[in-house]
Amino acid sequence: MKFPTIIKQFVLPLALALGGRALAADETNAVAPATGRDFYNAGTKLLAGKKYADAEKMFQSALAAQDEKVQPSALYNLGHARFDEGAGLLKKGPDAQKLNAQGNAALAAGEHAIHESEAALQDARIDKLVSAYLEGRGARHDLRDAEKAVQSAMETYGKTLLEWQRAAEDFKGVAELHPADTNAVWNAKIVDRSIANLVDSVRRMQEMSGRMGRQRQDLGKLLSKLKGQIPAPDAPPGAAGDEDEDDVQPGSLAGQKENASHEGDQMQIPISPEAAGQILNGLSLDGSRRLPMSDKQGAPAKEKTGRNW
Amino acid sequence: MKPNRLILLASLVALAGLGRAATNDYFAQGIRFSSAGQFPEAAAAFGQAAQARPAAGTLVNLGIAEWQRGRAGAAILAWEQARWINPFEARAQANLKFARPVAQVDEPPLKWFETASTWLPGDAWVWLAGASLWLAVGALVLPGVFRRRRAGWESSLASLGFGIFLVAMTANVGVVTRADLGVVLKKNAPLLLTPTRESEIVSTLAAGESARKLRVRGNYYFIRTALASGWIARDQFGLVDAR
Repeated sequence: MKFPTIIKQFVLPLALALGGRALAADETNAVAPATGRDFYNAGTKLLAGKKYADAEKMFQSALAAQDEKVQPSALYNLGHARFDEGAGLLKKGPDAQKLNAQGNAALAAGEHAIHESEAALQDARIDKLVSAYLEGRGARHDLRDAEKAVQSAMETYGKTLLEWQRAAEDFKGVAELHPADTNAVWNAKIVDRSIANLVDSVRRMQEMSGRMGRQRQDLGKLLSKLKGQIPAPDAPPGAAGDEDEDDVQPGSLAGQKENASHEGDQMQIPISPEAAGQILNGLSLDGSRRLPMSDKQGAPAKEKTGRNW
Repeated sequence: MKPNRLILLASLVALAGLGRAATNDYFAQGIRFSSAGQFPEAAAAFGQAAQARPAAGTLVNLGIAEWQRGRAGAAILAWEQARWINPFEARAQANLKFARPVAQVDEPPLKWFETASTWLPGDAWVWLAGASLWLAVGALVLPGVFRRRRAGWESSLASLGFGIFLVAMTANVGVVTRADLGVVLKKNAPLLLTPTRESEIVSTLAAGESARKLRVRGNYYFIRTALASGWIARDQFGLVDAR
């Protein structure tokens, strides 16, 4: 056997096997953190890798280890991880400026639609009524979409607020443990300022959401009035079933209580002998027509060749 | 003795007498308030009496007043302190037996040498250890000092003395470790992750729950309960050994 062949057949596979084993051993030798310092180091690595949620867990474990030397640094980094986590949520969430623009546009459209509807109701011309109705329906739809977007943004802001509040408390805690740590005091101030800005945004959004809700209700009432004045042949398509799901008021459900008695109340509906006969003979259609019944036996049903799902 | 020294001694005796009289006044006030059903005032009076001169009877009454005003933690602590001073205080024992199941808290888990240390008051173990040591040493050394042969009963006495000394020393260790036991004073007291005001809360503790103090940092104790460990504000945790 030649020397290169020996290398090919034995040495290379051996080297590969040993290398693979060494790599595997290196992977398995990555010791799980046990002490406060280990958890702190692992958390710092995760923080540098922008894995904030995992870093947060590691720093919490470092704090739980109650190592006095590690605790202030772990608390400081925990504050960082939480603040960055909150900021990340905010970035992933809806854009506040776009949301504001969408909300304001929906409110303006709603306002215009309300004016148009009121004018059309006073004018009582069918074409104006129909056009106002269509515009109002579109505006209400936009309002509903904008309201949903604002609600979703507020949920994101709420989560961010929770993270930032915890971050501010962490930095204040560090300042309490190490009064000389001016960085922690400074960070706590910055986080507090960010929280204040976010709270302002949440308030503005709540206000906008409230205005949109009120406008949508007003628009809903006007649309009902418009619909009442438009004759059925002139009604725009979809007018019959355009009620908002949200338009169901809690009051309208008040009468739909389950009866206390087990038997229930019997319906008292006057019925003529003819109608009773129809009900007995078959299902009544349009009050007089019965379901058509075939008098032929007919062919057997075709065998289905389609795929059996 | 010079006249100045006599005057000083007399004034010290008079001051001690006045202090005792004031303590008795607080105790009497506490009794009066308790009889009238004014438990917050009674608790304050008994508290001042106990602060001036800790006594098992005063602490038992303080516990009753605290229990009556709905402070289970403070009541259990007062009865534990009464037992610390006098382990034979039957009323404190009975009250604790009644109060712990009502407050849904357990007795503190004691190690064997801590249990042994509850058989006598803490101070008694120190005296016993000292006396038994001197007895043993005396029984061993004195025959030699008087230049006579050691009798059998003297050897037995020395062995007995050393035996008692060892038991007393073990009990003393128990007294020292038991001094770190304490009681949670407030309902839903937060157990904190760090010794800071705005720390994360690990869990909340019931009033009257027993715990062991492990460390002190600033205004916080690091304590261990049966289920968790963490920091608690000093004003929410009372030590059984109030000294």
